[in-house]
Amino acid sequence: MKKIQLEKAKPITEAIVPAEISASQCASQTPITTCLEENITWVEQYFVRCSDLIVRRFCIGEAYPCAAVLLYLDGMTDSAVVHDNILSPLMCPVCIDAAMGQKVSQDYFSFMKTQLLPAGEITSVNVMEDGVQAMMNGDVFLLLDGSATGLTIDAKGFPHRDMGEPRNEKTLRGPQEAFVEAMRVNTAMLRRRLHTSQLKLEQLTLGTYTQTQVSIVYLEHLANDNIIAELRRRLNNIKQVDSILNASCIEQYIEDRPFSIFPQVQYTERPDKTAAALLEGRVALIVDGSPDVMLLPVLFTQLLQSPEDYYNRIIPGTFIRWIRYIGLFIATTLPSLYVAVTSFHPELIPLNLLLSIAAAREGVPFPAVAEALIMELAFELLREASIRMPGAIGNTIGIVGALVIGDAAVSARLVAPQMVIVVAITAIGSFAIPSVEASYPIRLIRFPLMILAATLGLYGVMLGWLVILMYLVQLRTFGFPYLAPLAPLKNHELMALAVRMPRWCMMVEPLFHKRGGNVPSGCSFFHRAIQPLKQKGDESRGQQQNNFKS
Amino acid sequence: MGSSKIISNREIFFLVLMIQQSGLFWLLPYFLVRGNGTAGLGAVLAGILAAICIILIGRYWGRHMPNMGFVTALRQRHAAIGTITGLLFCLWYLLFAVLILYSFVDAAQKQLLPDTPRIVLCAVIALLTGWMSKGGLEALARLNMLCIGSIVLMMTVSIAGTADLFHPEYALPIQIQNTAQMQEAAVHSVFCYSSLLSVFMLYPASADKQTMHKWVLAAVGIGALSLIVWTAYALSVLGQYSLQAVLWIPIHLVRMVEIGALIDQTESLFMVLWMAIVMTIGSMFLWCASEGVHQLVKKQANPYLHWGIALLVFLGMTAIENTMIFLRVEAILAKVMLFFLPVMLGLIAVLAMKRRERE
Amino acid sequence: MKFWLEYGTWIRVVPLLVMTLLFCSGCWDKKELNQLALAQVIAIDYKDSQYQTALQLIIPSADKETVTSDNLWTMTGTGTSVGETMQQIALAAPREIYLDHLDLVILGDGVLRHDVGQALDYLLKENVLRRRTRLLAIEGDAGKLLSDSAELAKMDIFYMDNLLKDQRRRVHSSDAIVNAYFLSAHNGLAETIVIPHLVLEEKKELRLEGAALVRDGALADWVDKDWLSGYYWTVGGSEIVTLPDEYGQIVVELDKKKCKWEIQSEEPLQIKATLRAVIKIISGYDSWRDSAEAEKVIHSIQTRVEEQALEHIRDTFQQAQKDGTDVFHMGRWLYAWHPELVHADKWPEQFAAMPVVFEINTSIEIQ
Repeated sequence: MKKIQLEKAKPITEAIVPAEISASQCASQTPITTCLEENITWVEQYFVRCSDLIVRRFCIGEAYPCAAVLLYLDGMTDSAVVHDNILSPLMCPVCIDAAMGQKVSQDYFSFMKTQLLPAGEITSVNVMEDGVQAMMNGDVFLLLDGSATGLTIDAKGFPHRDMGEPRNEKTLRGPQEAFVEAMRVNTAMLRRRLHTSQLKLEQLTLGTYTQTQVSIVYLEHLANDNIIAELRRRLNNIKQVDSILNASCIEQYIEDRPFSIFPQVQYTERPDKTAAALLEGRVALIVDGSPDVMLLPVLFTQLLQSPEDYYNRIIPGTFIRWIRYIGLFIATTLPSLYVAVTSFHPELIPLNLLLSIAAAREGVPFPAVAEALIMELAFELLREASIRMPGAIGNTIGIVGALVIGDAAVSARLVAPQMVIVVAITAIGSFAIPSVEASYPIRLIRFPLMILAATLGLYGVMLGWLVILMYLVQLRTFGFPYLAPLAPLKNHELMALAVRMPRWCMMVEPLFHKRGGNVPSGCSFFHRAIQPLKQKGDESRGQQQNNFKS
Repeated sequence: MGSSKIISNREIFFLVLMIQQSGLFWLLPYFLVRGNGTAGLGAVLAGILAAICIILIGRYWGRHMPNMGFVTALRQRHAAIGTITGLLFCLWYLLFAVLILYSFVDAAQKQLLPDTPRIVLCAVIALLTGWMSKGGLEALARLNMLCIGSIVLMMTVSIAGTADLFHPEYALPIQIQNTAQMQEAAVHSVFCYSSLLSVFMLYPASADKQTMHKWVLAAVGIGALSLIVWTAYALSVLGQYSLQAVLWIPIHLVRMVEIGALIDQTESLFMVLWMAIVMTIGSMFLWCASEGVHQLVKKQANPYLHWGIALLVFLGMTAIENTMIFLRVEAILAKVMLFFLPVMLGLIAVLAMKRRERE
Repeated sequence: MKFWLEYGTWIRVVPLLVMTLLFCSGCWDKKELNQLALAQVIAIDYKDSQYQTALQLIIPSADKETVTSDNLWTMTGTGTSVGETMQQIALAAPREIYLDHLDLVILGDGVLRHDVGQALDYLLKENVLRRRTRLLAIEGDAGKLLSDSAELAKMDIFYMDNLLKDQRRRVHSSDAIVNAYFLSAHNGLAETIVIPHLVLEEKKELRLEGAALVRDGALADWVDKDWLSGYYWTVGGSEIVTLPDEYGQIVVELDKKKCKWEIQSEEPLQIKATLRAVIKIISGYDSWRDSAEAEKVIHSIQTRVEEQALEHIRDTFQQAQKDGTDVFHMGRWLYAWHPELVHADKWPEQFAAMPVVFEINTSIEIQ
């Protein structure tokens, strides 16, 4: 029996600056060699100047010792798992010697995987790149001297935020859980809600630098295969981009019209909302490192819905929904209506009110549109400022803002009091929109509508709305018309829009059944034939120069 | 031209209903009642008959050339005459677009923006119509469905707000007064219903061509019924003599709406709602004209060609100086349409049949 | 490069469109509220072939929360047409005159005798006359009313509104609506409208009493409140009546319904009018309520009211026939249902000679 002597590590007498691994080397597949030192050197070169690299050399077995090394990144792994579940069994000579042969062989690894190491997930790898990738994911990379195979062992223990309450999608009733940055935690939360094998989680990696894990989640018999295929195609187009730091990075690459102010995907931080979306036949995209899960496709009307509608009773749910629609109308149109009516159509105002407005506007130097723009801009500034302020200062900003914008401006006769009321009601209307991404277009379209109102009165407001509606009817999200079920008109879904339907009325099926096929009842709106999905120019968004120097 | 995807028959139904209402609602009651009193309502029959002929002809074309554009089909039937007929149709759609949009500009200027120069209103409308029609038939049909509620709202509020002024005896007696004027009313009725010539362009876009004619007939029936009811109501509120003196009857009626203390002087709001409908229909006709020209020159979605046609609409609108000229132009066109177009279509049909016999 | 190829058109076109829109539009129709003078009342007179118009304007001010006499301006103009007078006023007024909230049009005696239609033509063309615009007639000069009335000079802006609302509670004022005049479906027959008569007593008190009958645009006659009382039996309205009776002073409210006309015989032409009303006893009945004579009292009230009504309506109708004023629009009704019975050229004579039988049905409600 050949004794394998471990060579002692040479003391570092001079600084060794190993050559960096080039991009071409990264792209290629480097097989694991049987020489342990070569493998270790390769990893050290790969992680040069990375102080969190841990190289733990040890010896397995006593009778037939075998040099081994455990490679991992400090902070990404759970130390207890590494020590107790990996190192401890491997360094126990009794266990090893009982089953060891003379040579390192596949049986050796098989023994480790099946009987020795109590880790949850162990994978054999043959190339170095897979091993280092696993290290960056928080696993441990085990190499043995004399073996061209390595093992990646699950020992993830990177820090992540604990599950908390949703910050942006608060509800009075219903679950109060929110997604976190760790993808696996998020997928686990979905699994808890959907106990079915139909729940599929396809994983892929995006971003050359970030190697971000992305999961495409859907329910197999409900989701539209075309959407999934198209989504895969669009994601594959962007595999070579430098980095994906957040779900919104992916959004810009895959959506149909990136310059549109209207969102074509929806974000949520609620697992219950995601589960409901999956049950509608939509697809969820979970991005590692992002607590926002992307739901697609999305219709404009869905951006106005909140989970609370469905946790409340039917009539209160319907009432709240209509409050939101009114809020939407107020948020977009009230300032422009005020400007149009007071500047162009005072005959619409009853005389009492007209006199009150006229008296209040006496001495105000600006025309109505200037007042409106000043107040709206000031309010937007205040809103933006208060987002970033810490809690206590944020409250102060609110008070100061109200005083400055409201009371002082009116007292100084810079604006009329009615304008302050209009702006306040407009702001309240915009707060009624449950979706953050829907609130941006609503806030933005107010301004051109105000300018049109100031130019052409109600005629201008209607022109603006026609332009917006025409734009929206042409907008598609993954092949689905954005304004469905309003345009094209779908009776049942329209009813569901107007009234919060009872649960037993919620799902529809006829369109799919007309085409035949085995589909369970309760088929969704999204499980339908759709227009061609491919959009002009979407490939070019994924073609990005790699920044590695060759 | 934007993509002209297939649209459902339900969307065609609403489009046809709106196309009908756009001309009828504004112009026809004036012509029916002028000189005919309440008996003029009978002149609607002439228009309905013309509409049925159009639908049946369209059905014939649609069944024999299901996936071909209408103008393309005409040219295929007979190159020279087909091209001329196709050109006439395109001109016809263009003129209709000009008339519809001009009538709105005229009414809007009087009601909403009396001091704004007409050219500004025409420019804005022409630009918006051009852009809307460039979006394609599918987008227009969907926008139309969004706007259809406004016509129902307008009619409902107009009736509810003037119900206390309703006197049925104003609409009586029903007596024919003057045969010549009845003929004139019938000609105008046919002219207004001729807007349905746009179904020729819609046929290729229909998802279910076999049943499209049923939906279109239903739309014509409902539209005719609503016109008769509307005219009878307007007569009962305003009276025959007032109706004869007033050109834009919907505005006049809407001015009288009073519901409680709050809903009053709302004609501006109604005009603005009506604008949505007019823009949709004007865009529809512009789309027909543009699509027809594209088929004539065998081009696909050429933006310069499309905007050139939109420019023609703008020039047409600005060329009409006042409402009297507009009415005179409209009267001439009515007579031209009654004679020329059926003759051309008949000629093509005969020549096509002869060619088939020879083959 | 690809970016510009894909989006360059939009980047060129959209700003161009925006700028074109902004430069093309000059907000021609914009009206700043603090540049408007709101016209509330217009008084039109006709004297010596000249129109005289007085316009009462409200000019809001910032330091006053309610409108008082300081905010009210009365401006006058003279000319050969109402349009000319309005032009004069517009030139002299401190602000742009805004007529869309015009509430009241007062026509003087001169205008009534000359041509009401011509006087109101300017307002019609300006599209300022609406259903709620009230038309009133005054004997004498309408313009003087605005300057002489102390109450009008310092009135709260809604004084007139309240006055007319109060009057309307007692007197049906539907014919004071301008549209009834201009949009009436006359069929070439002598249409008459009733314009309430505004009376200023001793420059202090304003009230509505009686009416002016205007036929074919000119004054036919002044009528008193009794005539009106009879008239409103045919068109509907409510009235408070005090009945001095052997049973004491009883006050009732008469809710008069629109009467029903029917032809009793065609040759000779005879028409029957059925009047209907609900008599609501308001006061004076309490002492009789539980007595044995309660039924007798009710019967007496009903009989008295019916007698009074028939007397009023007969007087009213005879007066109308004498004046040749078809205030009941019988010509329109006959022409609609029985056109063969109406001779348009001879309608005034036909109307003057037409016998009408009146019948009344009432019911009593005790409140």
